[in-house]
Amino acid sequence: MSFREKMTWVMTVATLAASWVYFVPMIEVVGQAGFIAPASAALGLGAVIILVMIAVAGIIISALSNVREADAPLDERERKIAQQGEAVGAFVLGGGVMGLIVAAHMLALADWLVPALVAALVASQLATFAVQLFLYRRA
Amino acid sequence: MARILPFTNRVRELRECLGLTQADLAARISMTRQTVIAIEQGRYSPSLEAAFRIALALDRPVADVFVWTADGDDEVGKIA
Repeated sequence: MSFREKMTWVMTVATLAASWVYFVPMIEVVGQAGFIAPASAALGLGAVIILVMIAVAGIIISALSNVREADAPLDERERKIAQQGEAVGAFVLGGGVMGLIVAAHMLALADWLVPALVAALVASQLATFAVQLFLYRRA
Repeated sequence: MARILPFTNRVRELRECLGLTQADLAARISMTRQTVIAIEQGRYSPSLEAAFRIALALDRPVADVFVWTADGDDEVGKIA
């Protein structure tokens, strides 16, 4: 497994863990008391800290096992894989935001709007990583 | 990227003739070992620049390393 593929796995795990830290309490808070901005900000900060901690630990461990590859720039195949993943991720993010804009006009989303936007962002990242992991295996 | 390519290559054969490992060749052409593996297995079509780099690393002309194999219905195949 290449260094870049390992990093994509690390970022997938980090994103899932950060999502858990944000969404599990946030759903409970919004369900009981509606959207509370300080709570969302605190949970978001906690999620970012978890994301960074897992990512940094993963990068260090992976880089130590393959210093040369970690230092090297992306080669042409890795660049194509990154671009294809990011294209799908951008499509998912755009679709999610557009869907929420439409939904906000038709439904009473006020309390759920911020968590839903965060969910669209997370979904786009996970879609990016999923496509990249698929292509690392197949292409 | 996973489509069947209209050409094959002799990268593995020529690399082994020179006693190079996949990692050796990857280092010579500034690519990862996984990309060399994908090229050898016909899963990845390298750019023209990469094809020249591979040919240079293997000390052969590009046409010796990459061989067009599309059938006669293909216009490019007819020319080749």
